[in-house]
Amino acid sequence: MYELSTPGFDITICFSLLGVGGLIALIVIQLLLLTDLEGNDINSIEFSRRINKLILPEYIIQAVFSVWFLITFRFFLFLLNSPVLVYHYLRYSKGLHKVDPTKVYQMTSKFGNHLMLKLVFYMVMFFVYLFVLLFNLFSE
Amino acid sequence: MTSKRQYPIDQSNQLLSQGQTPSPQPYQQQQPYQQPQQPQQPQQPYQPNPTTYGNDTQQWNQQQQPQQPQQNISPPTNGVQNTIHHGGSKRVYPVDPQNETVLSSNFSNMNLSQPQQQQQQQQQFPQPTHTTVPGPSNTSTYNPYIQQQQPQQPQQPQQPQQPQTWNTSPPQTQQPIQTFTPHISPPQTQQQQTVAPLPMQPSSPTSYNNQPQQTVPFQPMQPTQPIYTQQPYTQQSGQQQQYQQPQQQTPQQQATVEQPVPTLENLCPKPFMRLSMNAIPNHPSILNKVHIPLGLNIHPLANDPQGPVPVVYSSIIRCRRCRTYINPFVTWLNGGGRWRCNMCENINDTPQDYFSPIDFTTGKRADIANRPELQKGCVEFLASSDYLVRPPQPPTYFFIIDVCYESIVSGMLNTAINAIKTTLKDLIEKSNGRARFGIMTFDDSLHFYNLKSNPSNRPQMFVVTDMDQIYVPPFEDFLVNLKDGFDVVENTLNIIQTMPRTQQKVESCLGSALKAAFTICERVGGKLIAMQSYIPRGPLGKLSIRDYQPLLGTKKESTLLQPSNDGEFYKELALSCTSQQLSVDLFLFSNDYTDTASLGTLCQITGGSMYYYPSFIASRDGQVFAANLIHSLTRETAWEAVMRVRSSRGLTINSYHGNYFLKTSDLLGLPTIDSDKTITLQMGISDSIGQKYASLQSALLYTHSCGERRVRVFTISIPVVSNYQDLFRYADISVVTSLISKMAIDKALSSSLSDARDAIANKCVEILQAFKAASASNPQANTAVTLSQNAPKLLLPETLKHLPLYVVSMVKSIIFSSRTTHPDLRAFHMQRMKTLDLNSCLNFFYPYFYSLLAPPNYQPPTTPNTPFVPHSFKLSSDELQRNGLFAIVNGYTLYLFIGEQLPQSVFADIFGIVDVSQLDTNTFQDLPILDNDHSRYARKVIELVRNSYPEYLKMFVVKSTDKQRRPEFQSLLIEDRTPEGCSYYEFIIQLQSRITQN
Repeated sequence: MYELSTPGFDITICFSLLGVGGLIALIVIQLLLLTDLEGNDINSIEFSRRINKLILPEYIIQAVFSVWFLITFRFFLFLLNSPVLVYHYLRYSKGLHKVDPTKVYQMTSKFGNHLMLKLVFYMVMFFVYLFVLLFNLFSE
Repeated sequence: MTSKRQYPIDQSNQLLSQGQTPSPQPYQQQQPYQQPQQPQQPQQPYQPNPTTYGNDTQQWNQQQQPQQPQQNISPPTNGVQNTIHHGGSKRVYPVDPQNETVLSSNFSNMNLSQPQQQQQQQQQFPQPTHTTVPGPSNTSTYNPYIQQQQPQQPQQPQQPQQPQTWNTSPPQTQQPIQTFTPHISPPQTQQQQTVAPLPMQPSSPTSYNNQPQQTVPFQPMQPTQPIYTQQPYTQQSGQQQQYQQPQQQTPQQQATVEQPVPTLENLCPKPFMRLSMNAIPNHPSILNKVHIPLGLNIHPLANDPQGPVPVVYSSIIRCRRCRTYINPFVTWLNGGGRWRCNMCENINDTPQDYFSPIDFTTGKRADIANRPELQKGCVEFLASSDYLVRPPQPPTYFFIIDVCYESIVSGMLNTAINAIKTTLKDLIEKSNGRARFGIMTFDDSLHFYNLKSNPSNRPQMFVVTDMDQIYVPPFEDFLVNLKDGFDVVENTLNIIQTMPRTQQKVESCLGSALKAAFTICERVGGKLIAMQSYIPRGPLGKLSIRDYQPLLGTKKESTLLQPSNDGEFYKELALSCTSQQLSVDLFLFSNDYTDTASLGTLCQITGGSMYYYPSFIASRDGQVFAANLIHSLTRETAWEAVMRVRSSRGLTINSYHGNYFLKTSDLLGLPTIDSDKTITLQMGISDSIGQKYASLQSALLYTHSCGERRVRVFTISIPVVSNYQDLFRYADISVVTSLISKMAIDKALSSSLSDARDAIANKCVEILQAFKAASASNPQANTAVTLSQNAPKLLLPETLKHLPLYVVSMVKSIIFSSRTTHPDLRAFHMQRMKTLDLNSCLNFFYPYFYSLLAPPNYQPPTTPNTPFVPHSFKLSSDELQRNGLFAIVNGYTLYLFIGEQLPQSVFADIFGIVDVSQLDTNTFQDLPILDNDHSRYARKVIELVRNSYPEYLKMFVVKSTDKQRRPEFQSLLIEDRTPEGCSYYEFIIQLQSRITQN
């Protein structure tokens, strides 16, 4: 709990709050695209094209903050982030991170669940960061 | 226009039924009229003979035409009497089943009857103990569809219950009748007796067929009977039904309330649409219990023996809510002013110009005779401009030919150009002169041919060598109208054929060539036909040679069957092609590894087809290649098509198999679809179904080669049952087998081949266990058969009695077998299997096995039209004789096996060579045409076999001493124990032990 005791205004946590906000936004956009797809408002090619643009930024933001936590010795936050980091790495290394337009309709429900889980995770992380930020601010 | 003449039957219905008591099933009274017209109906037991189908159909069509006047003349009352009189003596078709009959018998003849034939003739141990029936029996379930088979059975008044008399084994043959009779009033008993094996099936063909046999006066069937199909098929409900009938007998009510009953006439014929079960369970749990996969096979451009699908030129009426096309199963309300959609139950207003009053005597619309869309389950609507995004596209063919060293040496280029030349005239004719043509060649550079007409008829050739950025010269004339530019095109083909090519180029840039072709054709759409001799080596779309040897036989083998990472290029290209209505046909000729799995995505996504000729040599494979190329260009093709399948509430479509691209969740994009392609749907039940009938409608919107935009609509309506025991009787082995194989292919790709093999066997066990449970709880519901006396506890439903046989053969087939197979070949067959029609699919798993030597008592037919059916053997080496000459045909390859002691004179007669050792198996293409009895017989069998497949069969000669091919041949004898798996007999014993264990 080393990092929790960092006194004063913590700029790292501030940035990570912004970052996780961005991640939540990305997930929400993906969810919206998915509902569009299910409502047949966009076709699968368009859906895949748009969603594939969002996936890599999400992975990168998440990875950058996890590594930042590691190098600033915030092990607790790093540990919290690490399962998702590993999961992303595995998806990426297997080439599964991209949505395949020919298989979109077989995976919509799975993909939806996957996005909801991630959304919940990022929300939790958001509140953790917020807590850490406020805790540090007022612990002085 | 012609619709009046095409549907004489319904006119007669009306006419008849107006004159007599309101009869809800007027088609019964058609019998007398049709009957005298059909003296040639087969009166003897059904003999499978593929050759006669065409004739039958013609007869039928001819007979129908003159029928009409007679119908109008004859007084209606006579009709009833006639029915009885003739019905007793002669076999008649109550509902126009001829077409159905023809096709289904054709079908069953091809594959299903085969195991049966064997079983009839070789009474050896794995044979079923029951005496078999002629072919079609096992496809039959109740349903209107069944009728197709029954007319071909001999009518024997003593045996009113066809389905049960087939089986000698089940003891419960007559029970249903006995239990029924006490409860039913006399006229109904009559009826009930005939229906007895299928108590609740009002439209059951058995009842219609058998009715005439009764010598009592004709009793019109109760109008409301069909409505109760929803009820469980138990005997209690049968009684209820009887009691309730009087309540709803007034014709007025019937006219407004009655939901149209599926009959053979108004259902979509089976060649187009075929369900794995001809009844739908009413609850998801029942489907889970029965374990038979629910699926639908759609063959949109099947060759229907019934003749062309009727085209409707009137406006298209569709349901406002679910956009279902109007079909025979909608219910007319308010005297015809409104109609209830059979899919979503929405009530729609009938447009003013479509209104027609309801004839209360028949309960049908007064103008039904002029409306094929209300009469038949398969019609084509002429699409209005609302259905056009752009003017209908001309049929466009763009050839991309590899002119590398290898293509020239193997003779591929020569063969291809010759084949293209022979089809040119045909293409013009088929498309009313609209066809467009383009060609380019490539090696390590791209060669474009500007086909602009000019006096010298010489094309301009452009060579593009920069491969990193595809540059297509800005000329309009790479694609020309074939009719206008015929001379230039022909000249160009000659030039390509004879062009001197000094350098030996081995780098082929298929990726760049396809990209360039895409740029040329993207505004038009159409078909790209690519021929390729190497694995693509160009800078774009380069595919690496995967190291497959160490992976063969391991769990990772399935990765070889999937597109590699390099294959992404082709997937993306295919996606852009499919959105521009371009489809890609690939012809691959590689000597070496060519990664069909990666290249195949091009065809899979764009609705094209792939042909693969490993180590192509023109002197050996040229004939096959040319025939297939010509066929792929000239077969009936639908352009820029989209297809959607709608189903009534409760039914869901889980996945599709075939070559398509899913544009939206239920819209299949098919840049082209042709007469060889089928789409298979895997369905599920999401919710309990409350209706009596569930409907399925597929609509294919396409551009016909003649330039019309049309919608081809198929509709079927299937009774919903609540009793899972009954479902076994409605199963359709061919669709079940094909569906299982397609699901197993998906399994093999996502998991591994051994998992797929297990999944197939497990599925079989699950089905049989479910059947065992069903027959234990209600022994009367199904007729069970056993396959072998040694496995008496293994009970199979009558309809699925060949399932174990197909399971064994599937597991041993090249697609799933554990035998070391080149991944290219396996991936190719997997992709091919996905689009294969039912007939070819079953036959691929269980091939034909013929002797090419005439049997001793064989009499050469005197007239050319005499039906001739060679006898097909059981696929076991028991049947192989040392002095024989055999052919095994699996719809893709034809293996000729020469026995080692084949008499030399016979060999010389057939092959035209004196000695077996002189026969070069590597260059053998076809039997020589020789004028002697042996040769004639052999060629006749082979011709017959070839004619029954759309694809031209590759012929392989296997000498008995051949070390390489002998094992390959031996593995086709699937009833034997082979290195890939156990024999059929062993499998049955295994099945029994697995089923009794649980």
